[in-house]
Amino acid sequence: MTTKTISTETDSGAGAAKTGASSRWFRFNLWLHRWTSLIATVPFLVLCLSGTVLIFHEEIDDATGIVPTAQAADAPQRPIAEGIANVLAAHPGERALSIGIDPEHHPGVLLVVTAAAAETTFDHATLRFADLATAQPIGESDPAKTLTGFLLELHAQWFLGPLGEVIGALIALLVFLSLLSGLVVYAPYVKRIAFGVLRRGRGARLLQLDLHNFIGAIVLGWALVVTVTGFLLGFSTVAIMVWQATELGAMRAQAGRMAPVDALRPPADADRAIAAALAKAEDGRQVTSLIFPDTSFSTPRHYTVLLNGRSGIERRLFTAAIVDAGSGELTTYAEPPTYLKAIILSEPLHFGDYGGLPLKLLWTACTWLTLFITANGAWLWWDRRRRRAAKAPLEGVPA
Amino acid sequence: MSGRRTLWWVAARALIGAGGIVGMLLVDGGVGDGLLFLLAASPLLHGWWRWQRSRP
Repeated sequence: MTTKTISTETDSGAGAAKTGASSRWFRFNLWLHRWTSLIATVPFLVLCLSGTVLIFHEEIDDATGIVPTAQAADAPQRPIAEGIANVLAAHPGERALSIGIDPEHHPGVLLVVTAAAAETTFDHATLRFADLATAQPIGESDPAKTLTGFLLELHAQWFLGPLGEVIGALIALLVFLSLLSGLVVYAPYVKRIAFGVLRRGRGARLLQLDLHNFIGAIVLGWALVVTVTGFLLGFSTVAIMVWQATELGAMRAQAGRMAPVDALRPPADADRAIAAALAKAEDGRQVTSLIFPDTSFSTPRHYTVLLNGRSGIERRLFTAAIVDAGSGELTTYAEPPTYLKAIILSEPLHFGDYGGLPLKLLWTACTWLTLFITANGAWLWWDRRRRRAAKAPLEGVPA
Repeated sequence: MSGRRTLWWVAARALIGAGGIVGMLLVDGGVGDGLLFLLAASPLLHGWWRWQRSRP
């Protein structure tokens, strides 16, 4: 790579040497910025477009009625076990894998995740819903067949399962390297062109370069947050597998020495397990999920009950209560390991769905601006190649 | 403003924006949430202001 190339890219012209644009460090970062960006361009465009829709997944899901509404959200509730029993009675041959309660977004609605009676994983699960006040089934949903479910599978897994998640992490890593190297490349530029100055009327290339640098500097902080959290989310399945092999594995080994329970009809029902977990709960934590015995997230003998706080960061982080499904007594009450906490907190920071509509609009604006500089960066590279190709035959002609 | 100072300012603004984004997750509702949102949006708002000033 020549100094001439760098001068063209940064448009620092004669000032390049003065500002450090000819140093080996600068050239390495320019190379890194160019190629990490170009490799990531097409998948990143797909991520930006699908991500824009996913920012509004709550609104879209509500509008399309994926989760039914309870008739009387404030009415006294029937026992949760009754709601589960009624859902299973309507679907013979199925078992409950887990239940979910979300009083904030879906008041009065009980989510029952079911699958064929022999299933222990959530791979072929169906979401069914019951009204907490009447304990009667009120509908069902297949997340893979919804718009947001389809886009999430594209965005998070590229339709490739856990392998797709790791590919997503690799794309995030490329973008992260592009951002950091972009900052190094930006340094000599900003010493000559003040922040926010757009050189209009001096050709499309200079204007696009100024826009690229200007917008890149604006969205840098947001883009760093989204790429770092995207990288972490790429390892969510791996992290869960590590947790299953270590902490849950140890509990399973312990439970293996005890008599297993009938996972389809545990002696202690869901309400007893919830009561046992709530008796130990601190800081007003509430049960958000209960996983039945003998699944990939529980032991053959125990319920796994997840409790979340009511505000701030505690609303996102869960505490797991392991409850004996035979006796209904609490066995363990533990926080998730740090690596799982990091991944759990990455999700809201990646999708920007924790600050209401204003934050979602900010996320959308930053996504679209990033989309623009990704495309215009690719155009700048293509335009430079085109110009050099056009110039090359002329350089061979003797004066 | 010198180039070096401008560069530090770009990095600081990115950190302020990222700090606002992370802070909003930690704080729940109220005035603090609004102020943190302003911090999160500050790089964009500053960019908008500079862009308006640079328009012919």
